[in-house]
Amino acid sequence: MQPTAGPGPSSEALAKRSDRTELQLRVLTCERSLLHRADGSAKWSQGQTSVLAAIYGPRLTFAKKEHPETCVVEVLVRPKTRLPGPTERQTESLIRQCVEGVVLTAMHPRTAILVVIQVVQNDGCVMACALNAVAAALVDAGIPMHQNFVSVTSALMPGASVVIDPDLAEEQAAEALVCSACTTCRSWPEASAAQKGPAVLAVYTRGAMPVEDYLTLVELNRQGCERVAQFSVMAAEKSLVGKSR
Amino acid sequence: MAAAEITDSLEADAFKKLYPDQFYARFIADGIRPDGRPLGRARTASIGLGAVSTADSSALVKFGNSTALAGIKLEIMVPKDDTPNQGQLSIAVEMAPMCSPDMRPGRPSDAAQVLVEQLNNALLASAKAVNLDDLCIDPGKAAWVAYLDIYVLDSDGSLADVTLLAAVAALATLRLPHVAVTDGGNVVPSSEAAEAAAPDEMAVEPTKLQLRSVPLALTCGLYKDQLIVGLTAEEEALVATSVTTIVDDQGRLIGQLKAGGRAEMDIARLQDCIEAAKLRYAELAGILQQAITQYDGSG
Amino acid sequence: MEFVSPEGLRLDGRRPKELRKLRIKLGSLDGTDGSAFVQLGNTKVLAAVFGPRGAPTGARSSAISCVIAVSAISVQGDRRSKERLGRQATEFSRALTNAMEQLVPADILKNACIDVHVQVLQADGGLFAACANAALLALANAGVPLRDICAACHTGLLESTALVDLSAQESMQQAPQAAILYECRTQSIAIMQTDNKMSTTALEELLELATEGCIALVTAMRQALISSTVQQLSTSAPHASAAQRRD
Repeated sequence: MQPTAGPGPSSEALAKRSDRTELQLRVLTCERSLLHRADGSAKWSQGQTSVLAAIYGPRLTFAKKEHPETCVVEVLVRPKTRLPGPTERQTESLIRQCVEGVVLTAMHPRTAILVVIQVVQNDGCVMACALNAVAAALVDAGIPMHQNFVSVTSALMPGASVVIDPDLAEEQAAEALVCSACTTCRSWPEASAAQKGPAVLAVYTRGAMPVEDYLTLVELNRQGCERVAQFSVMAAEKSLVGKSR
Repeated sequence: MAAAEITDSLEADAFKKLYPDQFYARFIADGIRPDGRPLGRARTASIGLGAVSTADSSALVKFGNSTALAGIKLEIMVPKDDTPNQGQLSIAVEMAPMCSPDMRPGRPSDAAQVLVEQLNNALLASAKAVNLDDLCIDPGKAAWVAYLDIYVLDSDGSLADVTLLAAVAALATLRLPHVAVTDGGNVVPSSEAAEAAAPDEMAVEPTKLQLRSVPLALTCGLYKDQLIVGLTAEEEALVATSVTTIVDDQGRLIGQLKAGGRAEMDIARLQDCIEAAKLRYAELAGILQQAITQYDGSG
Repeated sequence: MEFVSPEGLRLDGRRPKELRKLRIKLGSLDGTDGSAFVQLGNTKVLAAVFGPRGAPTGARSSAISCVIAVSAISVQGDRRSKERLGRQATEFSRALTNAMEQLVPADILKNACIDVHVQVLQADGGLFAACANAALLALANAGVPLRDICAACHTGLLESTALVDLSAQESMQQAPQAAILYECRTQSIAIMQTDNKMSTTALEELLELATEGCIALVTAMRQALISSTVQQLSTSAPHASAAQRRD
């Protein structure tokens, strides 16, 4: 999810969305159990963006890397072209901490979970798509979790309009982008009564914006996450029903 | 009696090592932290400008024990074909092996790469603090490339905050020498070219790089539902989640990064982090301005 | 350009046998076991020591390791000069590691390992001498016992005059240069590094001058260690005085 420095389509040239409204997500598809060697895998697509995630683990690891009481999570992100660089390290760090937050790591001490993410096609919102793919792959691998998460990106366009789930052209023309991940169920171990209202698990921004616009985008993301969560649960049920036959 | 004193402090140290979470919780319950700070106060910052004279500008920044040294060296490059009017700002972060007992010399660590990405995001992509057109000398022929290298000498938490302040301080004191391009395509100091042309003209002063925006960061953490501002390394290991918020002098939000963690944050909490970042901004901006004025006055 | 004027003054106004201004600061890095910041004129070097501590898993070639890292911002020229200095630094690290293996008593190295990291912050000549001095001071600050007190010094022969503690400008000339790490009690040379060809008489002259320089540096380093220890003791003195009050 990197808007490039080069000149993108100007805001006048960027016509209103032809296939959907500003507040409408793209078509979501999720395929599970694609890779036979991986313990869990999922390919998540949002419109033309497509990311493949594979989970290996919990499995043994080197003594140097293991933790005596919990499971260690390692993430590798491979972009579609070029070698991985600082951007990928940032993505890996974010995804790793999200996974560590939801997985019951204490159930598998001295093991490791390896998450490998391959960007297949980039048409905007790669970070959100990757997070969703990882969440789906975790379910496919049967890793014990006390939560699951979904992720959505929204953008602040020039002219102070907001769109959700921008494609690559919209991302490059955007003034600011906010990608956030929200959990899918409400009961959270460390939540307390003081926490009122909806909450985010992770948030990542790019671009400068006034604080009010940022909060609007975060709220918009949360609503989008509810929709994506509904889809995710439905897709999981379908694939699990298929397996049990 | 000295023996009793030593036993007390030994017990406290042992308790801290064996049960770090309970040790910390006891302080938080009283509303302070082990180093005596209230929950809402970040560490005092100290900025030393021009610490390294071999670099074109440099800044040594300390937040308590966290120390970062930023230096910029200018070199000449030929601008890229698709951006003939732009120079380049190349940011690199190195975690010196001395910064933490676990570091080993060798290839760049992941933590350093994540800091590079955060700095690139904050300075270039989001705040656009440096306008790359300012680094152009002769469109299509010559431009400055500023190599900004940041060395983390001591890692005690809030590294995003320290490195960003060091980078901003080094950029704010950077002076671009006046140069001219000769017919042969070489870049020479303007004074030489001017002497060749008109020996009576005065030498031209180097120009200061104009920062379009001054972004500064603050890292906060959530510990048992309390917001802790300005984390040390020990606290970073104990908090359920941490949030880095970057604001700039125009009151805009340059970035907010909450990278997962064991707890969620509702929108009200995110707003609290932004407010805390704004308060910290006022404090840091004052210190930075004072340091720059002093440095300009003496330099 | 003349490096030694007829009055006997160098480019920066020093006499041929005059060292640059030395500044030592110990224990500034909190997370390390010992640290030392050494400034010799415009050369600034920071050294940190971790250890003695348990050996990590995996084979290590030696119990003590010393790595010198040259920062990109420390060199006068462009990034290519940093690469060159970096290669020289690697070579010198190995020599320094060997010297330290001799200096630290064997019974400590048998069961534990020591890591010394040196970061060059600003380079203006006499680089490796400064690194060696900083590394040894950091070891002393960490409380690692050393067999002998040593210092390192850099000398060169320019315009038939033996000069001590060359600056970067002076060392860039293709003149004979010698740098030594000198052990004071045994009065022996632990490391010797020479540059460019020279006659044996010139070498003897440079070594003699370097030895004098090292002895002067050792006095200054010893002074700095003593005053730093006194300061540490005085800041922890309140414990002692409180104990006395209770009695």
